[in-house]
Amino acid sequence: MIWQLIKKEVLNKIMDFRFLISSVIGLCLIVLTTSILSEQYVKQVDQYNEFINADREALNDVKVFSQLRLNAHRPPTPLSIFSKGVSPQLDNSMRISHASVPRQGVETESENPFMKIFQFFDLTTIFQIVLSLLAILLVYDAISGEREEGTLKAILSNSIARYQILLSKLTASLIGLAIPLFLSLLVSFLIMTWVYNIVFSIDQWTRIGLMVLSTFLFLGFFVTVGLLFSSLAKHASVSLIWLLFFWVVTVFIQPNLGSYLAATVTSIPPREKIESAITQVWEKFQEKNEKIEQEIQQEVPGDPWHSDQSGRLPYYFCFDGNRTGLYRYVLRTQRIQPLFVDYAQREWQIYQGEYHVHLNRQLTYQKVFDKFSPTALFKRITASLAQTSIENHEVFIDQARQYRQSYLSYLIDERKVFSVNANLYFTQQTMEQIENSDFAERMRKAGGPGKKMVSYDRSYYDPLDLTGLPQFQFQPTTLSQSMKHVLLDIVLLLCLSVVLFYLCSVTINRYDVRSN
Amino acid sequence: MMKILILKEIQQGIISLRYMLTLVLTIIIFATSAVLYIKKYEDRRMDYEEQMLENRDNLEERAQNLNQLAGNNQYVIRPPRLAELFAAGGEKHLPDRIEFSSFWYAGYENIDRLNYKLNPFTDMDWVFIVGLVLSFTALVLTFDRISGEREFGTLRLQCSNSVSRFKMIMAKYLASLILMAFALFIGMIVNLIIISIGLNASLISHYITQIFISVMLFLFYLSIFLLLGLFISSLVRKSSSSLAISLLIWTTIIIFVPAGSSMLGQKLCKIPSSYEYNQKRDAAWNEIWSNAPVPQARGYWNGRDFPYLADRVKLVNRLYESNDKFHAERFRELLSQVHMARNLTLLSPYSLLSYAMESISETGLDAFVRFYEHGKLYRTIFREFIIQKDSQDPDSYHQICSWHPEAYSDKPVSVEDIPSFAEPRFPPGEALWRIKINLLLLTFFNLLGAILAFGAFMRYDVR
Repeated sequence: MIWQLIKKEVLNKIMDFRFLISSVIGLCLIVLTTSILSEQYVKQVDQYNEFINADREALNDVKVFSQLRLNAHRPPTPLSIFSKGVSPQLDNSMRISHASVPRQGVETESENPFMKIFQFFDLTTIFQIVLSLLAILLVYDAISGEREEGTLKAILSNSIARYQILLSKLTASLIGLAIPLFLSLLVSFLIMTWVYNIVFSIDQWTRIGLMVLSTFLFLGFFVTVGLLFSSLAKHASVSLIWLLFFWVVTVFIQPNLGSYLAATVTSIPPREKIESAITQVWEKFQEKNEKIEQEIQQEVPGDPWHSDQSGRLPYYFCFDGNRTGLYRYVLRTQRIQPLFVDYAQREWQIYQGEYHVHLNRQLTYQKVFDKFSPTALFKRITASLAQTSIENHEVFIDQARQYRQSYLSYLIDERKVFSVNANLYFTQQTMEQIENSDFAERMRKAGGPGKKMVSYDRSYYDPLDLTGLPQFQFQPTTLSQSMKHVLLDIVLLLCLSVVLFYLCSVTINRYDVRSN
Repeated sequence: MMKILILKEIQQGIISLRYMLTLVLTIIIFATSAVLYIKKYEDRRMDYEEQMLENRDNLEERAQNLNQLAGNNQYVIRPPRLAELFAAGGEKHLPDRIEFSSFWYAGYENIDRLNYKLNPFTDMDWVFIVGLVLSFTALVLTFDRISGEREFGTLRLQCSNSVSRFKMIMAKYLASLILMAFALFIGMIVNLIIISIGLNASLISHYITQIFISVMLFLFYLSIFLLLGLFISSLVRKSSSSLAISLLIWTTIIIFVPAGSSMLGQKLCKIPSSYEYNQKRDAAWNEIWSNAPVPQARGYWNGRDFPYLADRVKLVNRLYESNDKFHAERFRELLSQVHMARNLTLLSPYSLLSYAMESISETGLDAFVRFYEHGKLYRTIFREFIIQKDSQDPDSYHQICSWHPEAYSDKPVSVEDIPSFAEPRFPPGEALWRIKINLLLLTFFNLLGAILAFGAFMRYDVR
């Protein structure tokens, strides 16, 4: 009997004009969005490859270690077509240097920063808006409408439990919603694979499958809410009005309000404050730097050799051709470069300290507010599965930091550092080794009596042998890690639907089927 | 008769559940918007004042030495505006501080307290409330005005009276507009009362004209949705179909057209990547340096008695002029892409309303571009001031260049003499002229809606 009911309900729904029009509009939007987002993704991939190649080429040209400019790039994911999460506002490249710890800047270097004033959307936004509306339109009259038409009486006269009627309506609605959902997905995949040659891995297919399941959970929530309102109201028109206001609040206002509230209720300190604290750290560094210069001057007296006053290593330097200049240079390098690492760590601690606590507090508030919004929960679930959530981005920053650590170890451990270069990082060579090097010999010849200053020109030297230089390889979050982030949200969404279904069962059991 | 019809429609509407919900939702959302805005505005005001003070202190300190004043960075900062409550215009993403010295342009940045970890969200300004929430309620009020009455059979009765169909639909339209206007006024009054209590009441008095124009614009905008609701209601037989069609059109024009057009704009107007831009800029810099007309000018600087001083200064200044040129070109490219996207979004009345409101409130992209242009102008004035002060110093070599402060004056200047930056405000009349295209398009949508709604109702089969 229940299967007959489901069949009847499904047929009723898919023959409905509302169903047809919603599906057609939804499909048109999906085609348009998939094309635009796929092209954006392809462009991102090209840009990523461009960055990787540029970095590789730059490495071939490195003559001195201070010339090394390393970056950590995060490859784009095709899942961003489904859910963009917070990715549009974040940087996918991090500069790796011994003098700074990778962190997300408040201001990011996007291709066109002014484009941020526009809103963006993805496939799940379309499902979220169009399919939730369709869910409401399909069920608002499921009980009250049948009561008005008198058919509810006839159904109940059969030997079927009331909750089974409810279950059949829920199942039929979900089947009805599955048709436009799967049709849209099919069209999307065809566009992505045939037109844009986008290939998904098995892990990504699993994630897409889970996103589809979470879409059903989300739609299930709207269907059960629709059934509840329909069984609470005597007239379909009344349940419709309540449901429409509920829809606009749940889909548009509530998730937006959650973020807006979180950003307003608690303030984060102005960026100026954190920046001035960081400036103070580097001012202290400068003081220490000057002290070191004085110490060196005392240890190795003589004419101070030319260098820039910032304390950072110059790209070139002038060398007066005698041992003293070289010795002083080595001493500076050995004492000042480790200071950069130390102060970069202090800068990081400031950022990670109070400022980060405030950022995280706002995030926690947002997460709490999101728990009250099924749409926000759905967005969080899909973003996490699509690897575009903030948690995924933080994994990238952590990996960039780990990469910097391995780069530092390489610089410190690598004994070949001195082979041909003048700008020494963390070298542990003895003065004798330095003095006997080819470089020192060449500089002595180039300088010497009568030639007071000689510019150091990198083009004199061969590129460095960088075998052993660690390479950055981004390890995206595993499926189990993503699931761990969203498990509570999934359970909450499921519980909401179950509770609502229970309430529906209670209401329908007490429902007066007589039409007046 | 018309009056009676309108009154009847209003009476019917005002006691309906949907209108009560509209009223409650409007009041709650306007009140929330005001409460949250007060906190935001106070934070921004505080940040602005701190920044101004810091900038002033820096100028005072550097005024002791002209070359320090010329060579160090300073800021021009945009003050927070209460009008952001009316139309935030994406201000949180737009720069509000320009940093420069008399030699170079250092960049623009945003001093807003943005948290990159939060999900992207839209500010709950008046444009969001009216553009999204009230336009939705306008459709909910009208979706069954014709088809619903046909279903109940009341339309037949009405048509049997000696009232023309034109008057009937006109009464429905005007009654709905009055009801929407009432909800809007109540919401706005609640919002302004909260703002007056939370902030300074006199602040609002500066914006009376803007508020008045905003109300007119909002009603003009809401009218489009009322007409759309009436049109679709007169087009179909069942009110449920009318609702489905109306809401899908609403989501398309409110959400998908603005967002989709901006994405399409990015696709249609491609600009070189920032990587390419940096490469070009650096190549130009290297070319100027390598092809210096007097190669000796590139040599090591050896004090004021350097024989190629004038040539070196010219060379260095050319380098920075080239950078400035590249920056200006990049700025134009970025803007052309945004303008292309914006022009495409004009298909949506929501975007038309947003841009019109931004113009009235002096917020958003256009206001930023004006601020940027004024900042550029101020930099020119500041540079001329440096040149003029340097010319008065008999000990100076008058070779103004960022790399060699010793080549020009190091005398102190009076802080009062330093030109100050002020961004002029436009009279609201001028803002109205700027939004003429938006007004024309909104009028067009209204006329189209009216023709369609009235036309469809004239041909409607009431049986």
